[in-house]
Amino acid sequence: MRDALVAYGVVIIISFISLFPLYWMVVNSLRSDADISSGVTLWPESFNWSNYVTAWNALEYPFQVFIINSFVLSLLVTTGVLISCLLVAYGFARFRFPGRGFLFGFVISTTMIPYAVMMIPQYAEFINIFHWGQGGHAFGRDNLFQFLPIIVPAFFGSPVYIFLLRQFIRGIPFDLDEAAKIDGAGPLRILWTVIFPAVRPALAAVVVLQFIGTWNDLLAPFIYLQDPKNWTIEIALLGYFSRYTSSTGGSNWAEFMAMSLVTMTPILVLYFAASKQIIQGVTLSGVKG
Amino acid sequence: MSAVVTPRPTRRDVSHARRQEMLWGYGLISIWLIGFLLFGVVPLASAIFISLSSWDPVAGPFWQAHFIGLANYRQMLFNDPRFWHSIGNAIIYALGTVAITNVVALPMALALNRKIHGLAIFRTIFYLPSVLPAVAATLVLRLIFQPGTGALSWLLTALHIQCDPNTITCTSVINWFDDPHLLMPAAILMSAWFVGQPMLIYLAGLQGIDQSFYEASSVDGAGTWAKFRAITIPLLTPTIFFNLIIGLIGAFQEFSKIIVLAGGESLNSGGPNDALLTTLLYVWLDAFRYHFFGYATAMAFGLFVLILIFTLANFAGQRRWVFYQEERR
Repeated sequence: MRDALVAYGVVIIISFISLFPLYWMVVNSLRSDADISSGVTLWPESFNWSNYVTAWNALEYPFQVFIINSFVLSLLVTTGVLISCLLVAYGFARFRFPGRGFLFGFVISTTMIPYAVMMIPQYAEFINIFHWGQGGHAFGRDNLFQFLPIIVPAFFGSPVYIFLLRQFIRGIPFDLDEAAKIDGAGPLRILWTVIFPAVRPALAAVVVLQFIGTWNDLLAPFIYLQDPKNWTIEIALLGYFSRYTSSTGGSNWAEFMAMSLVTMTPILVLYFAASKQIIQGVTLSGVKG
Repeated sequence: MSAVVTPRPTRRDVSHARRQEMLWGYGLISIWLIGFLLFGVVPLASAIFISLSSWDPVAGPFWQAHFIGLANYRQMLFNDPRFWHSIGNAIIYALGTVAITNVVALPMALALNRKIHGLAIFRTIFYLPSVLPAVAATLVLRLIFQPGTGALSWLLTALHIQCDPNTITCTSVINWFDDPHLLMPAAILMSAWFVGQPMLIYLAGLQGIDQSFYEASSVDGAGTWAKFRAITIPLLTPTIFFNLIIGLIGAFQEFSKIIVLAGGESLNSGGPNDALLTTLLYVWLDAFRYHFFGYATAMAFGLFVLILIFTLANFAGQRRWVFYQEERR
């Protein structure tokens, strides 16, 4: 009994500590910069909603441009990852062919290659071999063209999700495939009528995790998106902070907090809506690995 | 009478079906394979060449870069103290963050492992910081650590570790970001907020431990600490091992958190005295800020070797301390 109470107490305290920074962020986004410099309080002295407006328009482009960029990029990358990983996982799970085990192990092992090694030569590949560069157009919109180096590779599969989906598909009874086969269904029809409905929970986890991953990604977009018009919201936030920070520490902390909150909000919404799927997905791919 | 005879599949039918299956299998896999060739093998091969050259993209395509042999590597290993400083930083940062996150995550997982009400809610709360955008999250933490105006500063004053910043005579305010000795500790401390990922893995590992072990030891009169030491820890070593590997690999590649803390006004710095210049940041700076792409690629391989060394060392050492249940036959 006492053990349980202690555990409960610890958990509650840690919950407060975990959530405190978020609370701090909201509180300080509403204080004025002068108030922030003068001291620490737990409740805003005044509610300066105008901080959000100032911060929103502080860069060359209003923040909705960056939000849309992030959204479009995340959506396209997630779509590519979803389709390709499902197809590849289906291939590994339902078809027997020589070297299947080895190839699967090989796919997993490629996660060991750090992006640090790939980032420069991939950049070289895109600008020299594919002649991608600043100032091109795709479908009439140039930010889509700038996103291509990030979007295109996503359509070729991602080992982590290939692994996750394969494990999941293996759990689906093969009898269902056989029944469909007897009815004359080919592999693609089986995928659509048998596998797809059953694998939806895992697909939900993949979609949510990849969307969050792309939204939060800084390094790759930072390399390819030079023109502020194409910046994702992470880049914009970093750019905003570095530009308006001053070494005397005065800065515009309220505005930084305001935009941090804006950057986090879609993730918070998505997270609380889909936390069960996320946690399941993380645990599944983590434990088996 | 009409006898409907279902023809038995001939050997030709069977082998045809097997061949179809193989083709489909290879066909579906080829989606990934093509991607790997295009965006994995080609860049890796190019990287080897680039690391042996001196290349600036404005001068031309990388295959026309000036070939200089092993000069980059010689410079990196023997003539660049900044590189070795960055390796040291990378190791300190990786070991520090992995240590702190695992030390915090394990008790949290233990506390959550009981069947308490609202387990799911707490688990959701604890994992939340790990999914937040790193730049935004690090900015909030940076404000908390901000000398004089941050919540941490208030706490330090209250504990009399530093004087009150509001008084004019105060000179000992702890400045985490301008002091070269404090920036790394600050970065490591901040990583304690992101313990969600290892905690989830520990939870899964804990739930894999058979309850009968604990019950049997209770019969023998074992107390809580003895149970923890003799049952929980040994059976948890595979999970600890997994978290170690994943944590180290991730920490060596941390970028967002580092550049927010150290980048400075033009995002071209590694902090005061390069206090937080990790190898990855140095690679990125040298390539995309100073335009020494060839040298940066050589250093990237250096980072790769570093990660490899730590991973292999862990795998080699696991026989010593990781206890797998299946071995007890």
